[in-house]
Amino acid sequence: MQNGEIGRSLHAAETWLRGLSVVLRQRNFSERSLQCLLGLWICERALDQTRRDGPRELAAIISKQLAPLQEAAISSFDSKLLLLALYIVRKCGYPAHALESYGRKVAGAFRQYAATHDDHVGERIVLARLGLSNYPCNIAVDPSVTHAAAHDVLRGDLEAIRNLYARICAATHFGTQECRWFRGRGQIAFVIRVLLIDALNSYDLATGAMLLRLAAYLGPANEAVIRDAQSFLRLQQLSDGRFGQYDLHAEALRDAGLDASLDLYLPLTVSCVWALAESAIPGFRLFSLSSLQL
Amino acid sequence: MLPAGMVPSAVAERSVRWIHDNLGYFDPFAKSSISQDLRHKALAELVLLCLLLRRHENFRSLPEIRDVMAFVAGLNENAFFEASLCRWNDALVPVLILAATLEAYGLTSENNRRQMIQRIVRHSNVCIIERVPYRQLELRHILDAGGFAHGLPSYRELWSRTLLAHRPNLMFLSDDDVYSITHALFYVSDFAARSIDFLSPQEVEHIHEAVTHLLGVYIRRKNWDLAAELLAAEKCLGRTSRHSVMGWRLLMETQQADGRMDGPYLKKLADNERDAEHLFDACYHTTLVSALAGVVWSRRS
Repeated sequence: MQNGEIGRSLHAAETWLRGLSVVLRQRNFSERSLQCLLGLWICERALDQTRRDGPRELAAIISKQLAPLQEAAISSFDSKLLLLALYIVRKCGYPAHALESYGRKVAGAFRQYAATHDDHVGERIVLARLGLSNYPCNIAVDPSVTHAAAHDVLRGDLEAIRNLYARICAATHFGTQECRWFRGRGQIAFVIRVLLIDALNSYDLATGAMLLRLAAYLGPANEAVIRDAQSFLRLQQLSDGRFGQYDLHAEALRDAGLDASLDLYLPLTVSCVWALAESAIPGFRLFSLSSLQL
Repeated sequence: MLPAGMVPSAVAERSVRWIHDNLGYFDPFAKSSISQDLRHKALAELVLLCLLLRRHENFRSLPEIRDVMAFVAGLNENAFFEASLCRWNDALVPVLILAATLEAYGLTSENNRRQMIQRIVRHSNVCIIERVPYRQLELRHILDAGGFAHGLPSYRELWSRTLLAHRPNLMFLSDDDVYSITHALFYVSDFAARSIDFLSPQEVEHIHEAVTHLLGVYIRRKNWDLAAELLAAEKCLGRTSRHSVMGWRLLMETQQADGRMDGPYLKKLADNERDAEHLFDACYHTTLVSALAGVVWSRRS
């Protein structure tokens, strides 16, 4: 797939996210604002690293919305998302005291441990970028990701897939490092591609997007399945830029008390732009130094 | 190479035993709650399996196969086959399979249809009606297997019209699409009896990659019907993979003590529907294709 096509796709998604950020301005502060901020950041960093306008407006709003809040108000949110949001808001030049306080608290907690569990590599990397911690070298990666374990995952449930995801993210620092110590790496990459086909073929776009990133981390990036997955995801993009052909379920979502744009399309669109950017744009990694710098 | 103890022919032999024990359900003329069309389809698939089993010394000498072929020869006497051949285009392939298989086993009765079939092939519309490409390959394959003259395009030309020849996006494939992929490979390779010489090694590599990925997907979905077909398809490409080992291990583990392989729709049967006929309906195809995969993976004699 041509990067030009991916670029057009990311541009369209960025336009939709900008529209959504106007809606979010009218609402109380929520995790959705942070997700939208992250989506805008990914689009900007992947498309044109010289721009400054992508997430700035939303970062200003989030900064304002956060001002009266204490850290406790946000502590139930996803920790990686909070730290990434802190990074972005800070880089946009706005204060975010509740986020700063949260970041310091997490960094303090990590200092208690010599090594960090697989699940927290993302937090450690962002904390290092924030200057709140050293770059995480001593990640305790479970070495049991072997050929046999990969085959178990092939027949496992979503939790097994998430565990594999966490271990590979830890081993590759979210795709920013070569993972050298996996035995049977080729077999694991193969199993991930099978899981990716299964997820997208079953129209589980969120899991598919996550697995597309993993497939890209283990490479090779030009693999046919990776190109097919990118093409499939792009074909699920609506003309307004959001991802997922779920409008036919709109009524059921409303009946379930869900806001389709915020509760369904937003997280899915962010997952898809993240996956497309990391799998198609050479060298782009959300957690790499170049992506976390302005 | 499969590890020691992993013997595809053993899966095939157990499957053949189940087929033998359930032979009556393959009779399309017997009274049944299963539709007659399904029984005709099941019979044609069984007879094709027998044709492939005939190629292997260790299978053709099985006592169960003697019984199965005697059963098939008995059914062949039914006037239905000759009548259908002259009246319906879609009857040709099943009747061809029947004729080719009976001849291969030396069981051609006085009711020899060879000349009639050849006339139908020459003078009716059976070779020119519109079929999906893999069905056209199927027709060419069985005409060739039976030694009938025809004017169908070459395998290469027929192949070029198939889904697989166009490098499909695997994310969009339905189960039916995957069946069309496996069947295209069965026919162009004569069920692994010949190499697909019109494909370059690179093309074979790409196709094998797609087949092994799909094999992984259907192992994950515990769909032993398509998993068995994809295992056979790998062998039709003259390739094996690490997934083949896993596939065979799981097929062996999944096969019931009586040789039955559970079909993908078995779990949809309600408890009160699990009578022998419905079990046959839900499992016969998976059991047949497991036998087919075992045969294709066995060394030919």
